Amino acid sequence: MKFRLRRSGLYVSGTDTKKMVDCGVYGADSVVLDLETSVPTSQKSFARILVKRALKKVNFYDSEVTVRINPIETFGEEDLHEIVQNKLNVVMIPEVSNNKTIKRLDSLLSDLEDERSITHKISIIPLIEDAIGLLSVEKIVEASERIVALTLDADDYLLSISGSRTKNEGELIYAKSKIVSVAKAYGCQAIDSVFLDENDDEGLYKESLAAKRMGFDGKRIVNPNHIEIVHRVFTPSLESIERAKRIMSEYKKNPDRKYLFLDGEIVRKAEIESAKRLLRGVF
Amino acid sequence: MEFVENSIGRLVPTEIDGRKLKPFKGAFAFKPKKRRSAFALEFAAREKLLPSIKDAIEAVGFEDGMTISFHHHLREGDYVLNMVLDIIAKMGFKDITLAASSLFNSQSEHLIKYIKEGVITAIEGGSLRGKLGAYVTTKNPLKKPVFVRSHGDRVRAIKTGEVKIDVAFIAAPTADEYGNCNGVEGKSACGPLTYSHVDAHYADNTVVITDNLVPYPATPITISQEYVDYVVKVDSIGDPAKIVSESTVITKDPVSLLIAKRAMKLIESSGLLKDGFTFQAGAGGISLAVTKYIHDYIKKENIVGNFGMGGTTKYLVKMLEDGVMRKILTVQAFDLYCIKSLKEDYRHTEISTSLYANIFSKGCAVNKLDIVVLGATEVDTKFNVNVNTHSDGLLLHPTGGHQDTAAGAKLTIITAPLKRGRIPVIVEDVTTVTTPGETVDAVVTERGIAINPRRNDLLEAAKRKKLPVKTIEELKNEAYKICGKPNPPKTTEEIIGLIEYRDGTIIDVVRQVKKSTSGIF
Amino acid sequence: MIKKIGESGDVKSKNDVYVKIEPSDKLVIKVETPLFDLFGEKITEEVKEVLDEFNIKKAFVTVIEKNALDFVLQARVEDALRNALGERDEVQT
Repeated sequence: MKFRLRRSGLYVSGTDTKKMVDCGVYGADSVVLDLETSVPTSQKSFARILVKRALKKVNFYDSEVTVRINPIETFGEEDLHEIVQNKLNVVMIPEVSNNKTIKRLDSLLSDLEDERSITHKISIIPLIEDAIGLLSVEKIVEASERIVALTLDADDYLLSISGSRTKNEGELIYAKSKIVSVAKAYGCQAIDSVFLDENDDEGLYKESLAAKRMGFDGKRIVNPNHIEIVHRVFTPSLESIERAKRIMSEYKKNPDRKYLFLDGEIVRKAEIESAKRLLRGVF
Repeated sequence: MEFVENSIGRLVPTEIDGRKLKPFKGAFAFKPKKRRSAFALEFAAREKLLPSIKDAIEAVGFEDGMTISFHHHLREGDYVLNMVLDIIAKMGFKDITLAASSLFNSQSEHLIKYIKEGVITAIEGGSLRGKLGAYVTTKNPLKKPVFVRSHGDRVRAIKTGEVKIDVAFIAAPTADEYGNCNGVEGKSACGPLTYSHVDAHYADNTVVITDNLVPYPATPITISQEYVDYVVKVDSIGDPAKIVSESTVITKDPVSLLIAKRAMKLIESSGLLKDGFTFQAGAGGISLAVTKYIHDYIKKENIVGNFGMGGTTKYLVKMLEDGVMRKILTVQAFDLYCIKSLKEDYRHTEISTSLYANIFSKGCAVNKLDIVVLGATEVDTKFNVNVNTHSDGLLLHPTGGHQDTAAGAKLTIITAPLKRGRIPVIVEDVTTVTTPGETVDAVVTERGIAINPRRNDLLEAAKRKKLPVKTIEELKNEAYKICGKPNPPKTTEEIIGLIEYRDGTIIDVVRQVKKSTSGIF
Repeated sequence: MIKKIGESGDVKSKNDVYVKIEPSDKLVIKVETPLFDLFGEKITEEVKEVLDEFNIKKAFVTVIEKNALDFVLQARVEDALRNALGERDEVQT
C-alpha cells in the first residue's frame, strides 16, 4: 500500500492547454488531470490524447500524478487505454456504486501494466457519488488492494438523495463520517470534496478545518493559490509528529507488550494506531 | 557602417548620421567631460495666451526639420500629441524629429501616417509601442535609427545637447496664462509632470497646452512660467479613463503570485528589510503583489521604510498612510489614489526625471535604493536583461527606469515567468540587451531562483533559507526543454534602433526584421 | 489511410492550436503562427513526428498555432489525424 501526503489535490481540466504545463510548480501533493466533469462530451477524445501526451512531456516535479477518468460505463475504458503509462500514479474513478466497477478497473490496470511494462502498481481512488455507493463502501474498499484513499463528490451525492447544500454542510455529516470511518478502518486516507470557489479563501479555510476535525487527510481544490491554506490546515503539527515518533520508538522496543507507557501514562490503542498512520504518511 | 564590439559582446556602430557614438564599456565606466549646455535666456513680458495651437506654432517660428517633444504622463489617454501633429502636418511642415519621452498605442495610427507622409523622419528617445514598433522594425521607414533611452538617459541627452529640442509641447492638466502648470488638478489630472522638467528648461521654445486654465498663479507649480513661451487652452487634453486606472489591482494569476512570493522570500533573506529601507517596484501584476507582501511583512515586524519610489500606485500610497513608509517619491502616477495622495499629502513628492535617474548629476535618487523589483521580456545566462524587444525582434517596449534603477539599487531582482506560452524567457543570449548583467543580482521564476555569481553573499543567504536556488544555466535548460530552442529572428543588415545605456554609450542595436507568420513545407 | 477531413481545435483559442488534416497525394504542411521565424521548422518537425507514429506519408496538414507548447500541438495533430482516419466514431451529443 503506497502512502504519501495527500493534503492538496489540484484539479486541472483535461482541456486546459495553458494550465497543464504549470500545475506541478505549486507544490501540491497531487495534481488531478480531469477527463470527466470539466471536459465537454465533444472534447473528450481530444482531452484524453492531451493528457496522455502531457504525462509524457510535462514535469510535475514532486506532485503525485492522478487522472480522473470517466465512469467505466461510459468512456472510462477508452480513457485508460489512452493514458496508462509509467508517469501515472493514481486513477481516480467517479460514480463508484458497487465493487464490480473496482474489480473491473483493477483487472484492466493489471493487464495494461503488464502490456506496457509499467514499473509500479497504479493506485485507485474511488469517488462515492450516491447512496448506494455510500452503503457499499466497505465492499468497494475490499475489492482492490490498489485503493489508497476514498473521497466523496458532495454535489452529486446530494443530488442523488434530493438534498441540497448549505454553508455549514450539516446535510453531509453522515456521508462524510462514513467515508472517513471506512477509509481509516481499512488503512486508507480520506479526502474531502472539491472546493470550487476560487475567490473564497475564508470559506475554504472553514471547510478544510471542519474536514480535518472529522478525520479527513486532505482536500481537492481548483485554485493553486489555495494550496497554502489547505496545507496549513492538514499538515500535522510538529508536536503531534514528535509525539508520534516517541510513541513508535517505545512501541518498537517491545511490540507484544500489553501496555505501552509514555511519561508515566498509558498510551491508548487508538493513539498507537494514529501514530503509525501519521508516520507512514509523513516520513 | 563601421562596427565595434562593446564590452558585453554586442556589435554596435561607431557613427550614425555624422554623430559619433560610444560603445558600452561597463555600467559605471563612463565619466562625462562636457559641461551641461546652458539654456538660452529670455526676456518675456508679453502676453503668452494664444487662441490656438496653430497660432503658437507660428509664433515660435516653426520650420521644417525641427525637433519637437512631448511627455507621456497622459499615457493611452493623451490627445495632445495627435492634435499637434495633425496641425503641423496640415500646415505643410516636414522632416520633423519627434523626441517624446515615450509613445503609446493610441498614437500609433497618427505616427505611422505621418512617417509615411514624410512629416516625421526621426524618433529620438522614449520608445515605440505596438503597431508603430512593429511598423518601424519591419519597414525601416525613418531616416535615422531610433534612439531608445531610459528615463535618466533622456535627461542626460537633452542636457548635453545631443537632443536639441526646438519646441517642447507640454500637456498640462492645469495651467495659468503665464505658463505655470501642474498635473494634480483638473479633469485630466495625471499626477506629476516630471518628464517635462528637462524639456521646459532646455527647449528653445515651450508651449503649454491645457484644458483647465486657472487664475494666476496655478499652484502647485511643477513647470515654472520662467521657461514657458506660450499657453493655449483646448477643450480636452486627454481621456481621463485612459490616463490612469480607476484602481490598480493585484494579479490573481497563480504563476505570478508564486513568483511574487518567492521574490519576497529572497528579499527577506537579503537582510535589507530593516528600519530605514528604501525600495521601488513597478506597476505590473507581480510588482504590485510584492509591494503588498512587503507592506504586510514590515507592518508585522514594526519596520518603517525611508522612502518608496515609482511608478506609484495605490499599494505604495497605502504604505505611507499605514505609517510603514516615511516618504514617497513619484515620477509617474498609475491610479487616481496616487494622484489624490500626491496632491494632499506633504510626505508624497513628485521629483523630476533628472533627480530620479540622471547619471550625470551630482547624485540621483536611484542611487539611494536598497531594493528594486523589475520585469523582463528575456534574461540570458549572463544575466543581461531585455525589456525592449520580444524574441521576434520587434521593438515594442520602452526602457523606462530599468537601466537606472538596476544600476542604482543594492538589490536588483528581475521577476519573470520561465516562459510565456512557447517562448522561453530565460535564454542563452537575449535578442536585445537593455540592462547589463553586472547590475542584476537575481532572477526569480516560478521554477526557481538564479543568483548572479557576483553575489555570493546573496546566494549563501538564499540557500540558508532553503529557497529553490538553481543556476541560470539550469533555468535556461529547463526553458529550452519545455519550449524548444527558438531560432533568432530573421533580420537585414539595416539598423532601425540603437539601445543607449544611461551614460550615452550604445549597449545594443535593433536590426530590421523580416517577419513571416506562415509558410508551407 | 486518410479517408476524410479531420479537424481539432478552435482557430481563436490562445495557447492552443487548430489543425486540419485532409487527404492528399503528397505530404504538405502549412503552418501559420506569429512564432514562425522562431519555431516554424520545429513545429513542422513536431507535426511530422505524429504523422510518423501513425505511418502517414501523404496528407495535407493545416496548422494555425497561437503560442502553444509542443505536446498541445501534437495532441491536436493526433486528434485531427485519428478523426481523419475514421478511427473514432463521432460521439452523438
